[in-house]
Amino acid sequence: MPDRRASLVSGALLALLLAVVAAPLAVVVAGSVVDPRLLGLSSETWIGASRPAGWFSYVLELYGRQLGRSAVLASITVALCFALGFPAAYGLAARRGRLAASLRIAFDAPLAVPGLAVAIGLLLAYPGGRASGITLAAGHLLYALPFFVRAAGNALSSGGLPELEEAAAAAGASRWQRLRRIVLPVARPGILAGGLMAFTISWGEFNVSFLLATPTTQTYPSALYLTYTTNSFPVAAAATTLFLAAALPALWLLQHVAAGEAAQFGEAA
Amino acid sequence: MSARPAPAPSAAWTAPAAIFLIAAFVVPAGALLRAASLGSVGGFFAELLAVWTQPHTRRALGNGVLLSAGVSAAAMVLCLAPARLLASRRFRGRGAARLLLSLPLAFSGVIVGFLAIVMFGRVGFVPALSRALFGRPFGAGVAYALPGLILAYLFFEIPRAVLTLEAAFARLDPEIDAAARSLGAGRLDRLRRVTLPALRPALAGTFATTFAVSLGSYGAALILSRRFSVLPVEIYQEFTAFGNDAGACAMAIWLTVLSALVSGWAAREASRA
Amino acid sequence: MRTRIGLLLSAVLAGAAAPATAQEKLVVQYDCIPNYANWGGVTALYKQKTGVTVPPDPKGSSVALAAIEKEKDHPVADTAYYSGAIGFAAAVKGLHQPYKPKGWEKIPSDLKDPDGLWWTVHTGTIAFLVNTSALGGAPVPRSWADLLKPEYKGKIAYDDPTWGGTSYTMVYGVNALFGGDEKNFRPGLDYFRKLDASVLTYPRESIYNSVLRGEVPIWINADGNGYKMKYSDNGPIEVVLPSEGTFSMPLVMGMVRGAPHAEETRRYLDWLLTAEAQAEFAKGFFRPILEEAIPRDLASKFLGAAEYRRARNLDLSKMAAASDALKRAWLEEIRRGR
Repeated sequence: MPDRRASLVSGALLALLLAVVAAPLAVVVAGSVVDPRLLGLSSETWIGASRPAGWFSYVLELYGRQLGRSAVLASITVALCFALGFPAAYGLAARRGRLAASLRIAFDAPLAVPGLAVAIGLLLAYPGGRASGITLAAGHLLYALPFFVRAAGNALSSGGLPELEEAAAAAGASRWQRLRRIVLPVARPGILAGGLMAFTISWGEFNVSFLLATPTTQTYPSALYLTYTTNSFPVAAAATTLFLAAALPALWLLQHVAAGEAAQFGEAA
Repeated sequence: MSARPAPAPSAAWTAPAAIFLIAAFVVPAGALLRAASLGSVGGFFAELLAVWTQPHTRRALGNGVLLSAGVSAAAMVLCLAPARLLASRRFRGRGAARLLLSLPLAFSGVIVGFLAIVMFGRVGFVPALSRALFGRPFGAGVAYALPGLILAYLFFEIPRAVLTLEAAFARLDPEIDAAARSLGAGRLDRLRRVTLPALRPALAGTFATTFAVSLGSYGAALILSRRFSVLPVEIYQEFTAFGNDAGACAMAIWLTVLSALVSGWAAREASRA
Repeated sequence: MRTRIGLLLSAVLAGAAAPATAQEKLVVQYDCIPNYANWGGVTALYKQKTGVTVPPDPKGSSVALAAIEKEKDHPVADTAYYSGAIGFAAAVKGLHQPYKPKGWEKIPSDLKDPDGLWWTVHTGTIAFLVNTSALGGAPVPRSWADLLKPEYKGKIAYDDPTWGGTSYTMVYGVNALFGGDEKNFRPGLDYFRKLDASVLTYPRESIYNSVLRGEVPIWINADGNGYKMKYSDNGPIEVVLPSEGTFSMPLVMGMVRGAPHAEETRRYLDWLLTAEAQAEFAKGFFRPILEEAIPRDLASKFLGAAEYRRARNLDLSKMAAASDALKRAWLEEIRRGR
């Protein structure tokens, strides 16, 4: 029964990986709702002896601004991904040849560059762009766009789009009508998956944001850094739990919309 | 209105994204190169060379490459079998397992560093638990030493490795394996002659991804490491504490070159398939 | 199903976005660490009184200085808070504009720049902050020499002095204490090399809570942070002024040249010297620069005056002049050393 033994080993390994990922998350989530001393983690009494539910309101009081800013920035990133990435994916979809190949490589290129290098480059090239947060948004878009273009591109090249478009054109549909009635519906799963990936990337982005943000444009992952270094464990745990609570639905949706796309998502730094 | 064939969308559709890429990627890259040439060391090449001649930057570079390569290889070995299981079987809780594994994808290194201290700090959860169970605080303070850093990096590479490998297994053609089996090939033989070669581009891609992500990440090292340093931490140090743009840029250029080389190699492997 | 998901998603986003887009009055202060000198309480009180937000900022003094220098042509910060020497250095580099806040005359003349480029808001003293329940049976260290003993191995932390000004003051002071000066760093570096064997971590950000939690048993930092752990947070903390001597540290502010919110900033800087704000600093156990703002019961919580007699004053201008070289030397020999 070698096959059975092999799947037992695989199953055990999978369980191990799940435990490694789940254990610290469980401790943190538990730490945000119960007294951390019950977890064996001594803690101080700073900011109210114990107010489990209150920790969340305290986090919102301290970092609500950053939370809102991250949500706005993530939505902007998604919107810009659509505005720039969808036309790009459409333009590349049916295209073979050297130009298309090099464009595809160019759109993927930012993924091969560490966030810190991108952040320093943006800072040096546009020193005035920091205060307004423009360079910050550009940094987020740079890492989200490749995933969006790929996801939308995959959807566009899988549905027999050229034939459909040709038939519609033959029936007298204008470019705009074809775009709205045929291309967008065909691309929709890809757009949805790409948008969700863009949201998640922007939501968790730290490598680029940390250097580019100012105290007035700081995002939630940078606030997490602040909370780890300045707040007590329950507060930091509650802040992390909030972060997870927002990331989870996006990842869950992604699994349901396009499980396959989630895989390449691993390239996000 | 007369019927006419739909022209394929023109390449001009890519223009907005291309313009953005030039403004937000190409121009900053130029600024990076320029800044590296304005340092006090004596020009662009001297600054680049200095990264290799100064002991601390050379060490940080070596540390980063070894750590990233080691962790990426380990993550791949650990994840191969579970990925195959996820790809080939439908079992209860599979969706939940995949969701849980995808969660760390949204994490920055800082969160991972915090988790490492929560679990393996001097008064972390694991030592507290082990003290309660066995009377000895096993693992106390591990977070601040090299094993802690390795664990932290593994934590955020495991999901990346599992999910990309799972997708690769899902794409494998089961017929080939079945054919090999019907020809009498043994388990190990099939793995060696059929499965692994077919997976090669995916393995290269996974390795390149996890390697590049590890190499560029600095949140975990920033929080955890006392002296063991990696290049991004040195870049951050020079740039923020000393305003040494040239030195920071020279290191950033090397970091990019290394990362791009590995990505390029993986892309070539993938196109061979 | 998909449309519904899309709708749901947009609703969530819109809900989250609404509060963030509201306009607000701002003052940007670099080095505004909520747990240091009670900046969290001070800025919260200011917000409550005036509606002006002063967001938290985790930069240490040195990082704040480097950032302001980098942003010279496009200033982001309005003001910054530094340990004395680093604020002095920022003024020398021309990063500040002169401003003499209301209450200026009450600041002793050796604790301010005659032209208003920097001034002291409160003072602190370098001390060992010891979590007595985390020492694992070892006695509380009483001197710089004690720290070198093997029983403290892996239990000590001090901030990276290339990051934070408190730690820079400590490193400069120890060097002076052991016979070095602004040119000769050897005595200090030799000591820190030996100490390195016992150091758990060189944090770049505040580890206030780690010390309180027992994660780090001994932190060499400002005395006030220890008193706050002890009296406000009821931590098992003892504040020790080392027997060989220690260093007092003025904590200063200055107004950044080209501050984007200039008017708002002047009002804020004025307010920081009022009795109300100064009393709020005192809640963080940093000594207010206004004598009259020191609450009566505060003195009883500090170590006795005899202990504080061991605290030396350091020459800010010499310290400022040595800062780049000493920070470099520390980095090369200690953090990057083998």
